[in-house]
Amino acid sequence: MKLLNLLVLVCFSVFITACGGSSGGGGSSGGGNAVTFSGNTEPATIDEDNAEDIGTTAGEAVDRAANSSEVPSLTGISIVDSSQIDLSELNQLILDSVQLALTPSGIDIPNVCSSGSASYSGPTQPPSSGPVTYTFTYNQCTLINSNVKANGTATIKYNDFGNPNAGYEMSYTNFTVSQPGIDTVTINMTIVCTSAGSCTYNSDFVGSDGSTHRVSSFNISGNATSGYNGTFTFSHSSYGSVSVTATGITYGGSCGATPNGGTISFSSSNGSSGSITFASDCTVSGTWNNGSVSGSF
Amino acid sequence: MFKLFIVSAASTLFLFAASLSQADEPVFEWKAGLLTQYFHYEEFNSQGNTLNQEEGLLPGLQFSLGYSTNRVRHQVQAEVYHGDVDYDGKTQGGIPHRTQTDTQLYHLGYRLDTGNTAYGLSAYFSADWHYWSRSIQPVGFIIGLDETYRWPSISLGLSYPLLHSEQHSLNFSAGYLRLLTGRFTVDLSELGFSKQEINLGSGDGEEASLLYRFRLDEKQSIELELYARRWSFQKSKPETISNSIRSITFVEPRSNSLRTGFALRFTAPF
Repeated sequence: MKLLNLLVLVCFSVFITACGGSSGGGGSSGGGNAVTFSGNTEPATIDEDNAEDIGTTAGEAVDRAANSSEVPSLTGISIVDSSQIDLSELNQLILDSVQLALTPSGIDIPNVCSSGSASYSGPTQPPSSGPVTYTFTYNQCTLINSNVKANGTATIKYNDFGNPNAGYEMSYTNFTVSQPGIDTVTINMTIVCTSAGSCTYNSDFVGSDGSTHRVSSFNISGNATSGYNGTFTFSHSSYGSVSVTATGITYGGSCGATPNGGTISFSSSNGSSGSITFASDCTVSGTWNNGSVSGSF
Repeated sequence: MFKLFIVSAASTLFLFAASLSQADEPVFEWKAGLLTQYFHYEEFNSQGNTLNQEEGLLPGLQFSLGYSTNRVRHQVQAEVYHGDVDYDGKTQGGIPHRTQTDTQLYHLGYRLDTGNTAYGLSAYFSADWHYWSRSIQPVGFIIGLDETYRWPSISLGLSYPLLHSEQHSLNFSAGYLRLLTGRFTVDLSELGFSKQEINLGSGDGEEASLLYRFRLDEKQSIELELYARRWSFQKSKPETISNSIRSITFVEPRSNSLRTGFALRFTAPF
């Protein structure tokens, strides 16, 4: 009997021990090199000295802004089969995949991509607070439930990882996306979000003047042949920011990045304004008003 | 394994029937106890790598009512545990992630113990219902995840008295657990989806306990119990869910659970 008792106790101990521990351990191409705007964001003072420069570079900027058919928002919009890739929708898809990537593994979501792959790099252990940067690399990744194929690097800088309301900045660097029937688009742009629902989309580019300018808050429709129409905010590296309305802006011929048709009107919050008209022979003409004096060029 | 379970069930019923013919004056008693449980849970991906593990001590309370003769004993009991355990895992993107998980465990059970038979062995059968609320806490931009698991189970086992005197008794029990089809719910509203419920599937496990009983007087006793239960759930079938915009596919991963604990109970008749 004692032997049997001992045997039972040993069995119980073995059971407990065995249980312990781990068992397993279209549209136009924005192409070009990545650039970052660090110029003047103050309201521009439009006058006879800068009206033509602002107007001409704003004309080049329409091409940048035209990739988005609407002001981006973080409410979901499905990718539509249009002649362009909608950047706001793309951003939403990317943000969705980032959100999935930052979901705990209480469930297992095997694939962020329905084909291809995505990988992530950053701190091996996220801090409880403070700035953190993660780099998401997409390798021919067909984003879930879309036919958009993404390739390239997106970097997300969280201002304070411990505080979702502190905002973040998401940058695309030479990020290419493609959809069947649409040319591959290269994106270099930055999304600045102050909170989950409040984001500003910036696209920085080097103009024909060799300086880096920024387009933001864009809402453009149309195409390069029939003409782009819409609004955006343009920040000239030297002169500052203006609100822009584009009407019938076309590209082609020998004008390069400069429009060969259409009109742009631009105004600053300080009361100055201007307009520029692009001609098919690549010449421009326009007007300016600095708030008290006006003129033309 | 299931055949073994059927054989065990038949044996238990036989022992129960045998005990009924020898029933005598019944005793009704209640028990109230304090519990401490070491909670360990681990999930694995399809490649067998650990996705996350949770562990920690959970305090609990237990109450039960019993009816017994010298040959048979029926008991219904309720248990509740609540506390935070450590979550050590990864995000879906493979980013290491440590946080706390608010854990609530509820257990309702019925247990039938038969009287002693040959070699002092007795058999038991229990039918139980389990509920587990698992709330993985958010850390900054890494979102939280609220999940619930609920499943019925039955167990069959044998008890053996290691020690028995007028004032002391020490009993060892060991049994087989069969986890019946459970349900799993996860709240994916932060990902743009609603609450999702899927089948958890079934599972198997084992349990063992060591129960010491000290008789304070003719009616009242103190009980100390060490117990351990472990089980596994297999990976669920893939579930594809959609909102009006997009869809994702997810599974509830394969998991291992281990719960060991200590109970201190007071027993009195009513």
